[in-house]
Amino acid sequence: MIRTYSLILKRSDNVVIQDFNFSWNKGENIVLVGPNGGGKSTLALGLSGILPVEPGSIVIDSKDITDYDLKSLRKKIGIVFQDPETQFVTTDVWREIGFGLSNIKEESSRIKERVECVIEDFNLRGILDRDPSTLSAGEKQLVAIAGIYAMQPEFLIFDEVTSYLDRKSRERIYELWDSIASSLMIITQNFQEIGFGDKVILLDDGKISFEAQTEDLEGSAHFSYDSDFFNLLKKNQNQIPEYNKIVEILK
Amino acid sequence: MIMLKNVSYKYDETEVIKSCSLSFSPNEVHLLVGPNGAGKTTLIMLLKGLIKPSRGRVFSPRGQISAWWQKMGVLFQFPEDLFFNDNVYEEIVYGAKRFGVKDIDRRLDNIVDFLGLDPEILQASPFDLSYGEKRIVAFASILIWDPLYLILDEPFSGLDWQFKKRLTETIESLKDKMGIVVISQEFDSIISFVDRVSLIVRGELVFSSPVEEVDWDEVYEVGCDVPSAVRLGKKLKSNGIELISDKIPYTVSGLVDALKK
Repeated sequence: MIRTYSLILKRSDNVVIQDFNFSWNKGENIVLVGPNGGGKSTLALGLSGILPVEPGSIVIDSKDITDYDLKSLRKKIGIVFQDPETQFVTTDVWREIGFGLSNIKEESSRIKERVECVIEDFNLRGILDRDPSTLSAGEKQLVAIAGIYAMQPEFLIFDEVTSYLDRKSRERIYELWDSIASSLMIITQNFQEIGFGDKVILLDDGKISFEAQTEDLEGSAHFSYDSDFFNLLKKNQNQIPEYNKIVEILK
Repeated sequence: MIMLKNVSYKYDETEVIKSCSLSFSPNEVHLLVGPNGAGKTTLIMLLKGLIKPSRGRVFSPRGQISAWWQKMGVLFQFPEDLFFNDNVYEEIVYGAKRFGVKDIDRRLDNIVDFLGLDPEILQASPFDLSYGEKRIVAFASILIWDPLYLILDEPFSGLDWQFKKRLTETIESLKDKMGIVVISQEFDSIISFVDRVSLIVRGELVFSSPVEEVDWDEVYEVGCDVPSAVRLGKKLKSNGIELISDKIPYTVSGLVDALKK
């Protein structure tokens, strides 16, 4: 389990996440939505140990995040970013997938075993020799995810990874989420992705402004255009798919 | 008018644009759709003159637009990754200064006003802005030098509802002033004012037609999204709800009309 206690996270001296108390159970899938600047990515960077905690604390499985070394932290939590190119450091797909593992100083036999396994799982055999920077956007994103997944983190964060993918590439990521379906945090502006969570959290101005179990949101009462949930989303300037207007007209 | 005639382009030995002929009219909103990796971004790099065709040519018919490549403003994917100035003011005026544009401060005032930017952020570091504000600043840095064509590569990616709406309204208000070319996987918000749609697949132009004539099934089959009105219209039809036209409307308002009647 990951817990935060009175967590404060800053970006360039600005407080973005303030006095934040939150828990993420092992196995639980969370969808995090909210306006730009609301703190979603900052929270993700904090939880994955990339941003310093100041003050407050993040505790992962009863141990403070600052007490983890890089290798054990990366096995606990991984993060995939919106722009996969920001993660690429090598010039072929095989080495790219293995980079994270070699960075945490895994033995080469273990790296080989994990990379081969992920290549099969993600069906990447056909592009192994390619330079990641020459791949299509969908392929780049899969390679970026494969590199993080190879480290077998217990918790996995996806920060708006589908936002510029075509429908087919997006559906491939969705299949992947369905197959992993455990301890995922999906940060998104795409309302249709809420269904991948057990819980949906709306983050605005560095705080949780709405939180619900996804199953409680199912059904027309919650998805109608004037429901409390929609009003809340509207108030928080989130995305509302236009076809809901038509659904409303048809009622 | 800017035209591509039988244009091909190779990266190393791979032909990523294959004998493509396409024209871009001024005062037209032209949507380029196609799967990731189809060659859309390469096509706009050719259009901007950043790369040269391996075969064929990009040109403006004689007497129309001279040095057209200098008059094309391109908003690339993740434009905020290209920021490097200390403050927003310098970031916005950088290109205009380099092009020797006169009257920069007056233009800046107009742009700030037009885009609804808070003048106070001009002194802030561009790196401290929110994601949506960064995109608007990148947009301002192009509009300030009055391009003849505006080329937008995935302009909505990562933006929340508020900023998507703001950017959509801005693009719509510019459509009679300049030619606009948009590459987007999420074109629902702009489809109501798009004039022409071109589908690119594996470097080849499949069709370029007025938006009213687009075969959306063809767009769907190559792995792209279709307008949500088309998606919903199909579902309604398959559930026995009658629409007045055989062709499913591509806009929400069109679908509502077809249902009301």
